Amino acid sequence: MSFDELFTEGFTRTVRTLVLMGSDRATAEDLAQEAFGVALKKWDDVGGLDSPLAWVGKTALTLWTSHCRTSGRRRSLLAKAEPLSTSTAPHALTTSDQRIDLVRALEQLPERQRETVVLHYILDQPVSAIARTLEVAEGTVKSQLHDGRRSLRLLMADTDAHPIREGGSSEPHRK
Amino acid sequence: MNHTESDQVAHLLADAVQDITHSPEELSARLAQLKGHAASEPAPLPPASSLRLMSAPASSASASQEAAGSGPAVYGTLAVAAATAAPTARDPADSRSGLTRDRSTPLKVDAQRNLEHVLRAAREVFGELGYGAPMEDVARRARVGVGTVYRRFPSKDVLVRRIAEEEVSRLTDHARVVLGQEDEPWSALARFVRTSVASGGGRLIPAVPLHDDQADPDVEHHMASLMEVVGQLVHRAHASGELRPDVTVADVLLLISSSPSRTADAALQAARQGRLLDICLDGLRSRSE
Repeated sequence: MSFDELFTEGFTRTVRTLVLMGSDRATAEDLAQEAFGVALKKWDDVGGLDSPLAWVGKTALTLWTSHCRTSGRRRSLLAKAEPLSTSTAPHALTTSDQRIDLVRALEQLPERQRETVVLHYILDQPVSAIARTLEVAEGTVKSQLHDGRRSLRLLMADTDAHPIREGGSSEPHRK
Repeated sequence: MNHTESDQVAHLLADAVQDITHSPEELSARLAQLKGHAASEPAPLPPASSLRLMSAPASSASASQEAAGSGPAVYGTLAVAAATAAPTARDPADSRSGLTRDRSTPLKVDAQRNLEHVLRAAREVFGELGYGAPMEDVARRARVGVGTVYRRFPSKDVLVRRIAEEEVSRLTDHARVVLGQEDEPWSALARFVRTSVASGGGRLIPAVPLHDDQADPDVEHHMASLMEVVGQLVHRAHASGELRPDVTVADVLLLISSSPSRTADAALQAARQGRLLDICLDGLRSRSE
């Protein structure tokens, strides 16, 4: 895969990944651009990987973490959000309301679990690529995906605003 | 693995970000910038005065382009600044590829001008939104691609430090001038405060102390000079008995760095700012009489 193909295919997905980690869109675009810039500089190495996009995704997540540390803006999206419990009827939820709920739910997952979930479901990376990129065993990735899904389902069911509550809507799962 | 459950989570996540898309034009422009050959320069900016008055009418070309909805709308993300900023749709010619510039050679005239646009835009955007504002907003205000900004400033941090340094030393020069020109101690201090706020420079003073352990020695050095000169203004006003004895240099810097955020209406802005400063300056005065 050429760098151009990688970029064209992966830029939007990388931005979406960062947004689900809690970034606003413009910052996500800055950081995604930066991550691809790093990949381009190291293309001799990165281009030879099984999944260059997983590498870019991980780099973007690292940039995001350090952005949060230096700017103290970690909670910016959430700070602006309305309290969940008072939100409007489910069918009235807009994409951005859903996103706020979801980002909030994701933030309650342990960091590695959250990374694994977004890398798999948004960046569309296979378990094997995630395992190599995060340098953990495939079994670990699988169990993190499993736990992450379960927690997300509980958290989102708890908001009472989303259809996902198959089999597990009993316990409030919130801090 | 439970596939139904997995699919549900996948849908849930995907739905939440489905509105985030990038047009092929934007992607190829970004790609070109990454590869360092988006060489075209932005159209010359209107004079600074009309940029500052955000109500300045759009140029007819950009306006019709926007009205037709057919502009390339490169980097058309939502941002606070976009609502009030000058038109941002870039000329289609902007995304063409051009020369690759040898970065070790001195900047050409157009590149130098470009740099100035970026710096001016950064001052405005950071002044309005704070240093947390994304590079995207700076690029949009400067009417260049975000890649152009990154070519000059490898990271946002570098740009932020550059602006902070420049603004702090500008304020220092200004304080020196006031100190030399204005004999009456209270008027001197009040004039420094008013003009610092009006210039917008006050809002660009980095938080004191500078954030965490990564304090930049250059910025710190400039801050020290600023505090020294403002210290003289404060000292004189103390000596003349006009300034409350408990007011410190840090209070004065806090005052000029916390002016109200900008609104699109320049007159209203000035009125609100003036009112607030009247109240604050009055609060700094000694209550002898």
